Amino acid sequence: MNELEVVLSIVMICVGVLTYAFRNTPNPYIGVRMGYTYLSKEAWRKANTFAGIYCILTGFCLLAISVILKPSIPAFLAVLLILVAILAVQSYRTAKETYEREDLRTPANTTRPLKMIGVKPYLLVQLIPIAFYFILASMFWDRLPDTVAIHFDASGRPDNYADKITGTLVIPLIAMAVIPLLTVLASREPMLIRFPVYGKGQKVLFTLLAGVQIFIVAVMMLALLYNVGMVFGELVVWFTIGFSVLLLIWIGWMWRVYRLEVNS
Amino acid sequence: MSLDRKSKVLKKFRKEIRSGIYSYLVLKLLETRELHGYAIRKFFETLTSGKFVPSEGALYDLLKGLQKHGLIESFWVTDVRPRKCYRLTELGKEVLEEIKVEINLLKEVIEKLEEVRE
Repeated sequence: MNELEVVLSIVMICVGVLTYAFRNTPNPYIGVRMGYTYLSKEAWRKANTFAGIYCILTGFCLLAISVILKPSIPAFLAVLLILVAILAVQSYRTAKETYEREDLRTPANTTRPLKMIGVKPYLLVQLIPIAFYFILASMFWDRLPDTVAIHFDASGRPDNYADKITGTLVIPLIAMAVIPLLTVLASREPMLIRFPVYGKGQKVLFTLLAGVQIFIVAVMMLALLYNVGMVFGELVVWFTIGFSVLLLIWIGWMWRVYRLEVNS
Repeated sequence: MSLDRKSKVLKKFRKEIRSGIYSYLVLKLLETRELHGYAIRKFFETLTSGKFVPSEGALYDLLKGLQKHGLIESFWVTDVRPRKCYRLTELGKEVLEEIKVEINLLKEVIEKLEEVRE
């Protein structure tokens, strides 16, 4: 029996109990929070009833698996990840269906299209740095060692390594692909986000995602430069801390502007 | 027992006949206008005096099915809250034209059958 596995299983059960307990009380902290559940009490109730029961049941199953089968941590985490992915997709589908069914019995007054902004410029801002990273990686490919640093501790010393291809191409590609994929998803499904984002909200979100993406690519580039001996590990750490602080200030400012514009 | 059997068979036939007709009527309604789901239901109610109206679940599945086949597409509109509106796609327009011919043919066949019976 592994302690981590037991703790994660109990966390899953607790999340389920809390979600189920708040199934009739829409709130910004606990439960399935997305545009659909934010705007429809019925969608909130159904999505959270499902998510609560699902989390409790899967939590007990995971607990049984960790005690009886004693799987390795990677195998346990893989199962957990699959279960969480199923939870996310099914909660979303439940909320969406409930919301759309509710629409069929609710009188509507207008057919004015929702104001949406184009996602292409924001995607370009996210994708150009990725291309730049790979150009840089190809330029320094011969200078890179066979084993490269992929993670640094607080003092700037590397504490995790990978082979050259995994550390320079595979991991950065996965890390740098998440934000563009989220951007595309949010542009196609505006009700997926907690506060339904269209118009100004969409602009705030896409700008924020572009900022996070630039940050991720910059960290990847610094790690690459560290591996060819052009920068010190401390620089990677200080850059990460500095940019994180700037990003937080920026997020706060953008959110304030968005709320002021929405309330005006 | 016989009544129970009759109602079962009727239910089955109604379901089969109506699902196709509902699909055709939704496409026909969307031929000239963009409508949200509620308005589609209202049209059915008004046109048939409430006698031939798909249930909420049936209409939801129908709209989903038509979207899945690429015959209609949805887009968001503003109201008290965002809601989905539906319109015909190019494929939907082409399919509707073909189906119209078949529906007219069917009408003729039914009329002829009635004449033969008389």
